[in-house]
Amino acid sequence: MADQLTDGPQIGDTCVGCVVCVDLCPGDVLRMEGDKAVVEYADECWWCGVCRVECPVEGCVQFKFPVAMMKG
Amino acid sequence: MENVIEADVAVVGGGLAGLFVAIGAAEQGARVVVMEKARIERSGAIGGGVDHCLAYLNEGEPWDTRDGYLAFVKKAAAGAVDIAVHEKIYCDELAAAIKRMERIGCPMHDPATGTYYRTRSFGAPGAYWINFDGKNLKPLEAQEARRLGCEVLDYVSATKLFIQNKRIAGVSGYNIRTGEFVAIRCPAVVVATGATNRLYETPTGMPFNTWLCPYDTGAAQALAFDAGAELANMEYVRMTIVPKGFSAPGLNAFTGEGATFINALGEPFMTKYHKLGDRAPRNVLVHACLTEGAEGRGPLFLDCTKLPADNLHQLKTTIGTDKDTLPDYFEQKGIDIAEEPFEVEVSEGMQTGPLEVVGSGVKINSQCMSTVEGLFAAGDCADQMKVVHLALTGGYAAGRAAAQYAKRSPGDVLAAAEVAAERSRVLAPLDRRSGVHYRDIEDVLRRIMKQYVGPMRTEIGLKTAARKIERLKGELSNLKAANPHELVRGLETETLVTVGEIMAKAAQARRESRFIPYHYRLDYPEQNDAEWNGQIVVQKSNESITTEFRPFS
Ligand SMILES: Cc1cc2nc3c(=O)[nH]c(=O)nc-3n(C[C@H](O)[C@H](O)[C@H](O)COP(=O)(O)OP(=O)(O)OC[C@H]3O[C@@H](n4cnc5c(N)ncnc54)[C@H](O)[C@@H]3O)c2cc1C
Ligand code: SF4
Ligand code: SF4
Repeated sequence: MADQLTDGPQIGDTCVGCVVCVDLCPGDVLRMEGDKAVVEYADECWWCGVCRVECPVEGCVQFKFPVAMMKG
Repeated sequence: MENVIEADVAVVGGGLAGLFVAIGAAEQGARVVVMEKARIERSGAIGGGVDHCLAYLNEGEPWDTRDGYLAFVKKAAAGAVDIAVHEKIYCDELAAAIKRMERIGCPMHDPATGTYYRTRSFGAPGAYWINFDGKNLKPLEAQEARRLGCEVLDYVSATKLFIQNKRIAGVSGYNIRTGEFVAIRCPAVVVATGATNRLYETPTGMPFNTWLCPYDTGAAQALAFDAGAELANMEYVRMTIVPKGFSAPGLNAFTGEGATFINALGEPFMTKYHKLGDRAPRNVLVHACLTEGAEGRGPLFLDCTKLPADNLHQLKTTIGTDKDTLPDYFEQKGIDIAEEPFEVEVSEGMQTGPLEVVGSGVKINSQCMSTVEGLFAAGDCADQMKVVHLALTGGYAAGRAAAQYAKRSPGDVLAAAEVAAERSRVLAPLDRRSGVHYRDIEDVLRRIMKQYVGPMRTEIGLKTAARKIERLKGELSNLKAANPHELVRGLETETLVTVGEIMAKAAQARRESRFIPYHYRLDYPEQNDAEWNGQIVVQKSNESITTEFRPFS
């Protein structure tokens, strides 16, 4: 399951640290680390897309699906 | 006592249904407090969006009327639906609910033309499903609830319902952000925490890769059961059909637009199982897929390549409305639905109603009240509500009824000692230096549920499951949590175990099969309407689970 640790929602360098995604994630998956959002519990992500829908920075949040979902 | 909030109506779960409950209660003038484990703006099943709502609209056809609709429900949901309740919480509320959606800024018709885009699927006699843009329904609902003055406790997970003199006295919760424990004293509580997910092993082995929301873990069902309320329709294990590898919704959109299931031989097969073919009820579609697989004709596919351009266009442009990341998934997997059939599979199991028109969970009457005075239920956790249309109609009705009840009832004392004891119980995993991680208990539970309480059941298997879960329960008192996040996951594990045990017991009690494969007893493989046209009602008594078959009067 190692891939799930790095795959999942991907928060890019353009993150402005507005905390919106951290506050709105329905699963408490994200955290702030300094002034950037980070994915703390990637294997608990539901892929609902809320973080991307609400992020004010176009293209900042992307998704990378793990091998378990892509290759089975 | 610290942190006690006074309210007329507490709403537990600020999801799709819960926010309409809050709106309904607030419009009656009640002091409303919403307790939500995430943030009401985007929490729960439809935080990322939603796009179908079932409705009859009186546009001319006989099926498109109240009578036509009720005839369909009576036949389709026999043995699970209480028609008198359904008429009250759905039919009597529908027209107002559609108007309310417009008023809060989420119209279901096309604003340009004023017409509804309607499709037919899942055994319906006509095009009952309105396809609408509900991408922002949740924030719009939240805005309205806040505008009406509802107090919102975001990030608070409910842990217990308190009873005094056989009536509701209040509810407690834990704040994942602040670590605070809070209690609400109120004469009426409406539970609305959705279905139970993360209960069955998933095809990918990833427990949070689920069709419905994995943060909905049966809190209402478990808490209401512990408080003495009756539950019903708990024997059914719901499953659907999803893109292979991604447990995402979309089946309604695909079949509604005319997609065809094909097997590994390239043959369409659904008409073998039902006269409506690919538009058969969901349980039939699942059963057909399981059977094709078992008989060696898998893998199975959904074929959209022959769809008319308009339908294909509608599909491609709306498929991300409810599952926001499904288009990304198709793209990363190299799937173009217009070019080739894509592989599908049967999803994980879950606890939620067996059909789109009937639920599973806390047994409610036509006032949406459970068998515990002052305790109401709405949305997917109630035995007579389910999916969007009943959350819109029944949610609002439940809020109104709870507020009216609260006006008549003075409420009861919230015993300080009981609240303090609950606080210690909830926080204990943070203090344990050694113990079990929530995930270890859950993984075992999911395997037991899949193996013995899944689509193929027998008396002996179900008894085995109940015995194993009983033993697993002992581990809950060893739960260890490193931080508030893990603590809340552990609270979820507790409710999962309770719901799992209830399902195993309820499924034992129904000695026939119904909504195959959602309750498919290999030892009683036929549906037997003469004896089993009614509900299995579950209740707690003397720390054990009792079951009773009850026909509808
Ligand atoms: C992606 C997706 C798309 C869907 N699309 C459609 C569709 O197009 N048409 C349709 O009819 N149906 C659809 N459904 C089903 C429908 O969305 C649900 O049936 C509906 O949302 C149920 O409403 P609910 O309020 O009962 O549950 P939810 O909306 O899930 O709300 C439950 C709320 O309770 C909160 N909660 C859970 N536990 C606790 C606790 N212990 N304490 C406090 N709060 C808690 C959750 O965070 C959540 O906010 C879809 C489901 C999904 C997942
Ligand atoms: S996709 Fe949803 S669950 Fe996953 S991190 Fe984003 S908001 Fe949270
Ligand atoms: S919403 Fe976007 S910009 Fe704001 S913290 Fe999250 S990733 Fe960064």
